[in-house]
Amino acid sequence: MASERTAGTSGLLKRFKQALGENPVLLGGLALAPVVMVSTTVKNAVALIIVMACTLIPAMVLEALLAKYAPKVPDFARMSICALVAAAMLMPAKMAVAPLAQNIFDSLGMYLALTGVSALMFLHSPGRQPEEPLPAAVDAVGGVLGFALAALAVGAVREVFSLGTLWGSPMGFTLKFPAAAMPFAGFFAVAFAAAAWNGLSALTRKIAGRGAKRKGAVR
Amino acid sequence: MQAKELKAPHIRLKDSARSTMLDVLIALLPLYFMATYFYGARALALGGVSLLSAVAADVICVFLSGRRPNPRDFSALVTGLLIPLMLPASVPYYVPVTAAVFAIAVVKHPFGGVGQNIFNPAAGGFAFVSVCWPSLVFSYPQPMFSLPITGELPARLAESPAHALMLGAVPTIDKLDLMLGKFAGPMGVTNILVLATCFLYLLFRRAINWQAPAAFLGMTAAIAYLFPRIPVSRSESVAFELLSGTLVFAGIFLLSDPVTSPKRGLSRFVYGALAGAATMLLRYYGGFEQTAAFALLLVNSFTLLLDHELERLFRIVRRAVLGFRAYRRNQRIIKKV
Repeated sequence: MASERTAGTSGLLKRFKQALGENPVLLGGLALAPVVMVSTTVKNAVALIIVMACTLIPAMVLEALLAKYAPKVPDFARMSICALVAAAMLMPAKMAVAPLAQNIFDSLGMYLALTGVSALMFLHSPGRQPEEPLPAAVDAVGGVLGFALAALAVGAVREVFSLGTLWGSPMGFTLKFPAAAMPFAGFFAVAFAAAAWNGLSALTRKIAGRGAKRKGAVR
Repeated sequence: MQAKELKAPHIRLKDSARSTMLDVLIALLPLYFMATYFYGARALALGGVSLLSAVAADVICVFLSGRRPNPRDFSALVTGLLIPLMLPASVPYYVPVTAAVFAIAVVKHPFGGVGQNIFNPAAGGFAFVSVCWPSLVFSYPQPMFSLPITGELPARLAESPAHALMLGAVPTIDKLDLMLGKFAGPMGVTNILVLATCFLYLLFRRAINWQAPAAFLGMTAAIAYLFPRIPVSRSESVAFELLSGTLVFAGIFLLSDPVTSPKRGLSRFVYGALAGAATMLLRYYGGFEQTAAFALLLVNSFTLLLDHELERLFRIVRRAVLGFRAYRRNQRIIKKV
């Protein structure tokens, strides 16, 4: 029993690592529009992450629950229910981001509201099948963390370049590049972040491969 | 008969990427000479700073991509020298440096480097600094006023005739001065006579094609003639639109870039016409006075599509013509029988 639980826990951990490693923005190209348009500062990126977490995790868990306990519900109805839940979760998300800045939800336009649609895109991403609720929740948390990494990196770089600040605090730069806050710079920032992510992944695989070879040689 | 084994390359032409770039560099020299004549040694200093930044960024990017720098590749030099010519001589040094680094590190190398880039690096660099610092990029010193290389700039800055056109006002400039570039404007692109000479030189050397610049200038002239922005005669509208900014320079040096322009003659015509239409649309409805670089970037994204689709169109036409000829031949044979 204990070994089963350990195997289950390590399986979930592996799954979490996989979900985190397969970054939905940088590798999957999902939810690009909100990252490019909204992640102009770290504060905006945090607001986006909160909204994404509020919509994606419940939607994915609900989809898994429906698939398990109500398998007769057709696919289109299940997706519609998930979409409705994701849209309903925007209301608590709006309250959750309110402490960050006044009217931040409204000032960021439709892109925060559209995050509900991004949750659906995650659900429909290629190769994804409805599964058990717990692994689905782990997948969702991993996906949100991966999304958070990308949004924070893009937001931080763009804020430093465009405003010379980080989380609103001045960094002491006199030279600023206001164009970094524009959408085209968002695409460039995401592209560079994706390249860096790929580079890091390749390096990690290389190091892991060397370690495995060394272990094999010792044995 | 015994076949003789010869090593590649089998096509041995004198023209190469190096010779083309060298020709462009030679064509840029008179523009720098004119810029120095109009604004003093600061023009040369801006060119030098931009050149060094572009070369340094290129070398770093080449090393980062795991290759070795090619000393025979002059493309970074060309990019570095093109950018300052579109800027005012009064611009701080960090502006051409930023433009050159952006052009090389963001517009050129991420897409594969020399021969692979989709967008024109110089146009990308200029567009970036235009968006970042429009007040610095679109305020110009008066010509024939030597600017110091360092320190405070005593010259009073002015708007260019292109700005007056944008506001719907008629520029108060003599036509001859407009031709000679003796007005507040970008430091190296206003002297049309020198630009025309450079164009002829590049054409004579076959460093550039004629189709894209001709279609570009033709389209802009046609739109300016048909839909004048200012209350002057149609011919004056054409003259003001063509001569008041970076349009002619962009047509000669940016549009005919062999890497980012289409490969077929007809595609180049369409490409140039599209760029001309986009330039004028951006002038009429955009927020900036110098729009050629933005239009070029826009049209660059259609280059592959133009080559591909026009090739398809050619094939369809060719098949139709051949089919029609075969049909007529068959008809003749049937009649004879």
